[in-house]
Amino acid sequence: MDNRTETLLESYFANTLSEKDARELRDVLNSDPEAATELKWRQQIAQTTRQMKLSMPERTSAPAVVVPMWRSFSRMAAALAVVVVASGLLVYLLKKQPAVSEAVAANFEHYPNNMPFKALDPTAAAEYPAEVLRAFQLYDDPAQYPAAADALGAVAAKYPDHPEYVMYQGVALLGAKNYAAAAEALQKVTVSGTKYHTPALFYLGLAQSGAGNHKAARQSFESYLKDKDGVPFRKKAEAMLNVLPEE
Amino acid sequence: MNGPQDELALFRRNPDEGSKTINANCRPKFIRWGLDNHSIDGADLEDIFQNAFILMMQNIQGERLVQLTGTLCTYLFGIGKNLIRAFLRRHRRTDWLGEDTLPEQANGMPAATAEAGMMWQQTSDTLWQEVDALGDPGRSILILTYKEGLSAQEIADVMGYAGADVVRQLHKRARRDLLLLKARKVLDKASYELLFLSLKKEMKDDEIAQKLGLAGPEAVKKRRLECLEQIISTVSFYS
Repeated sequence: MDNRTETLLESYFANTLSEKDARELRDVLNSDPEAATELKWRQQIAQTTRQMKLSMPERTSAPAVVVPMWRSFSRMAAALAVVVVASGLLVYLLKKQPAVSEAVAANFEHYPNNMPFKALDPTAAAEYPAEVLRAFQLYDDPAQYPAAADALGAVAAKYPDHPEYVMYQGVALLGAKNYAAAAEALQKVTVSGTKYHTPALFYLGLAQSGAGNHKAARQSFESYLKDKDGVPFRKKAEAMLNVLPEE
Repeated sequence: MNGPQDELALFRRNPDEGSKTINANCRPKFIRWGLDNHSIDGADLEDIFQNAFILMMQNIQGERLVQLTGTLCTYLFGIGKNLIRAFLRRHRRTDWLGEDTLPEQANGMPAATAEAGMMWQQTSDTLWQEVDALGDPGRSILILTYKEGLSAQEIADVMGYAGADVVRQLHKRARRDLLLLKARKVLDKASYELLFLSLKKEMKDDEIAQKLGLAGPEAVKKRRLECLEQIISTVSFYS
């Protein structure tokens, strides 16, 4: 698709199309099936995104400004009272020190799939058994963590020369809130001597925190922070250390 | 407070407190200004301000906002004005293509039978998950483009990118990744590979034909179009 068609489509969705441009776009759509299909695809994206909202960045704990849930009752004094009470409650909750379990949930993030076939590359995928690909396909969808943990556990047992499978299994178990099993799996990775051993320390700390083993969790986070490669999750590890009780 | 940089630094240090201040001081100013200067409902202005606030948070988090020339409130007004401009355009929309290609429905759901509504829910949810899976900035760029109706330049302005071309590249990448995510679920392996080589590897059609043993570039083009239509048919309510 050429640049001009791109520009016309952009203008169409930004509602800045002039009548003349619209005629031009109509002609393009009639003569170029690829452009017509592209428009259909974008319309489907538009239809989907109409249901969606912008979301706050994950790493911030800042609250959104008051969401106008009351909009349909905006003229009613009773609703105003609800907003006032809700705002007070919101401020109270935000000020409250989060519990360890809340902090685990807040600081957990999906560990990126770094396998060679991660970039949807079927040529690299051809070198891996179907069961491995299936396990990682499940892993890529956070809603499927429990199934991914099972599938990754199976491939990790079958291919013990791939300790990285255990790492992803541990993260999936953690995502599924199966903390004790996650800690058991991740513990193995931290002593594996692979490139995964440093991030495994961070995830191990989360798993131990979730399992209530706060002392061990502190040690894991401290080890992570001391490690020269312990950079990507530094802020999160520090945040966890602030929340974990000193024992 | 000694200046804009102090305000930004303070906000970064204590976003909870900063958010409260913005909510208490800036939001009412913005709503009042919007009501005085534009014929927009107060609830819509609340939504617009909320979006401006989220974008500001994303820009701070993404380190695209590292220096303020005014106050955070002025910054929010800047974003809000772009969102208002797009909002007003959206509500004056003329359907130049001669058919209502994006019909407005109550709650965004096409009005049809219960069965059709259920179908829509299933298919739309599928794509919704994949848009979510893109993460930011792709997710936000798609929402700003297709839901809020911002141009590439306006998105660059509100998201703190250097210019429209950067946004166009990110937008293109988001559309491509979304299509490949959907393709992986819908297409057979050979079709997916053709699409992958074309979109992700950006190989020319004659190279793809050679690699995949197809008759020639025209065959690749035809097959690619069929793939796209197959993908669209699996998520299209209107097909």
